[in-house]
Amino acid sequence: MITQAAPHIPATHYLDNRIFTDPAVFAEERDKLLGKVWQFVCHESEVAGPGDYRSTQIAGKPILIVRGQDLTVRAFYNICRHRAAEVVRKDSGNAESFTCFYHHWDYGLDGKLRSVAKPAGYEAVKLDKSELGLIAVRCEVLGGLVFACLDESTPGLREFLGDVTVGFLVQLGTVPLEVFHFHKAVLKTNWKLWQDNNSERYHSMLHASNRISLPWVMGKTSPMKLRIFPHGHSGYWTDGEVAKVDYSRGGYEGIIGGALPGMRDSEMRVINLFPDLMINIRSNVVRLDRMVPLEAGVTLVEWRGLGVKGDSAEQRAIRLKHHNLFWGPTGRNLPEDVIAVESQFRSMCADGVRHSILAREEDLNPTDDANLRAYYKEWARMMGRAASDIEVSA
Amino acid sequence: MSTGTPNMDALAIEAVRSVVLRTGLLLDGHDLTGWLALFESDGVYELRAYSSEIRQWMTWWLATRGELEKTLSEVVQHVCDPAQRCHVIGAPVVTQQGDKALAVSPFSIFRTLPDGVSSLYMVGHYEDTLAVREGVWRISRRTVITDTRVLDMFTHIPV
Repeated sequence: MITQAAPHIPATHYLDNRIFTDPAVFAEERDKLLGKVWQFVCHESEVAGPGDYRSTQIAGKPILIVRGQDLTVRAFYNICRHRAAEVVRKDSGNAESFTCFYHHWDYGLDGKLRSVAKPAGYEAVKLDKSELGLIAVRCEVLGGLVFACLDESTPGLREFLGDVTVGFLVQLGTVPLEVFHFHKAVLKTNWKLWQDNNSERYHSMLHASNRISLPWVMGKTSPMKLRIFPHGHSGYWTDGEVAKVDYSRGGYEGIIGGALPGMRDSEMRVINLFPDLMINIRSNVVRLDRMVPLEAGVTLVEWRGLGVKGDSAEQRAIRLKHHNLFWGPTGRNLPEDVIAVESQFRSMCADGVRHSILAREEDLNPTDDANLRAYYKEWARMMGRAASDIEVSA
Repeated sequence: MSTGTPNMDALAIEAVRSVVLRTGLLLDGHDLTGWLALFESDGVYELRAYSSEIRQWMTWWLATRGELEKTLSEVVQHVCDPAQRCHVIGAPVVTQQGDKALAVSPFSIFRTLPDGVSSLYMVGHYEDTLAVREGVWRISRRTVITDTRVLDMFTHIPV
């Protein structure tokens, strides 16, 4: 039995580690949080043309995203209305319609039930096909990012995101971008620990490449500042003086050029959208992290790399090199992050240390923990539990 | 046994195969310097995979020998996967391509954790282009095609 007392700091500044490990908390998160909020599901370039589709999950439920003949991107539960088989079984593709493999009920790109096999058998009950289309899920596109929300009562996407969009709309929404990199992994950790890793800059010293190229992280002050927004969203970037990544100190070459709109060469910014999306922009290339929480300690993470659609081969090569230098499964940083969050989760399961500390206060320098505190304040609000003690109501 | 390479003699084919097979042994033995020495001075290493999600080929790592030297020299500064790897490289099929040789070899890599638990890490094939200079075959380009896209652990080290 653990006997550790809570640390003698404000309750807003520490977490009960059981919010990461307790299966009951995870089940509750699916109902109260993941099933309620807007979540990024894919980039619009993944469903670029009519009939292009992607399949995924939100809060454990199978979801289909498809662009219709009218070019509208829609989302549906990927579940046949007949006997609940998955209508689409591939990750992506292009279709004129969706025919369930099991009994061949056929749905249009707009979700409407077009036909059923052997329809005469339903004549006795006067089956009304207009009532039996795929069940729609709320879906909106902003800055090329496709979001979906399972809950009808949740405010609209723009209201949910609020002003955090100033951090990425110019960069992502001015010129058409496309996904050139996608990989995924099943991490043996809780999904929030990956979001924490993406949100806090304090762990930059974990990375050899950052120790060399990010002098402003190691210093006491930085031109970059944390930006805290309602609903748990945050980011860090600079509006004035450039907080440059000093690539030359690392001897990293051939990665500068073609900065995205609103970005300067060697500049970076990070935006974290509650609850599970990171938008990381390094000057000319974008990384998106999206999570599919599977169990309390099992998280599917999807990583995307984005460049400008229509890039020349030379420009794309520069973006790709920049992307792969730090990110991707062979990047300098990503392998270390994975080792860290899996180590954390193993230790938390042992329950030898009950609390995590989020107590850095640094005038909103990037290594301040204020964004994590804002995130868990929102988490507690939605869950109705204190993040500092899961046995206490928020 | 027919090699399908009438212009390459058996000794040359064996020499090419030997280079390909040694890559695995050297990586498993953490002899990154020895592994690099199997490349020509302007040699290139590429790791590629096909994504069914975005329906396109991707390059996960593309580096010249010089860039590889820099990256590998810094491996000691990184926090690395503690597992031991074991490459199992199938018999390379060698064909002549002009004055070079192309060797295609299936491979699998097993990963054993410090506690002794082993698992399959990656499956794919190598496409190696080799050139001979002063009687020594070296790799001018190694393209690693990985079928495995969901990795148990990411890697700073070539596969």
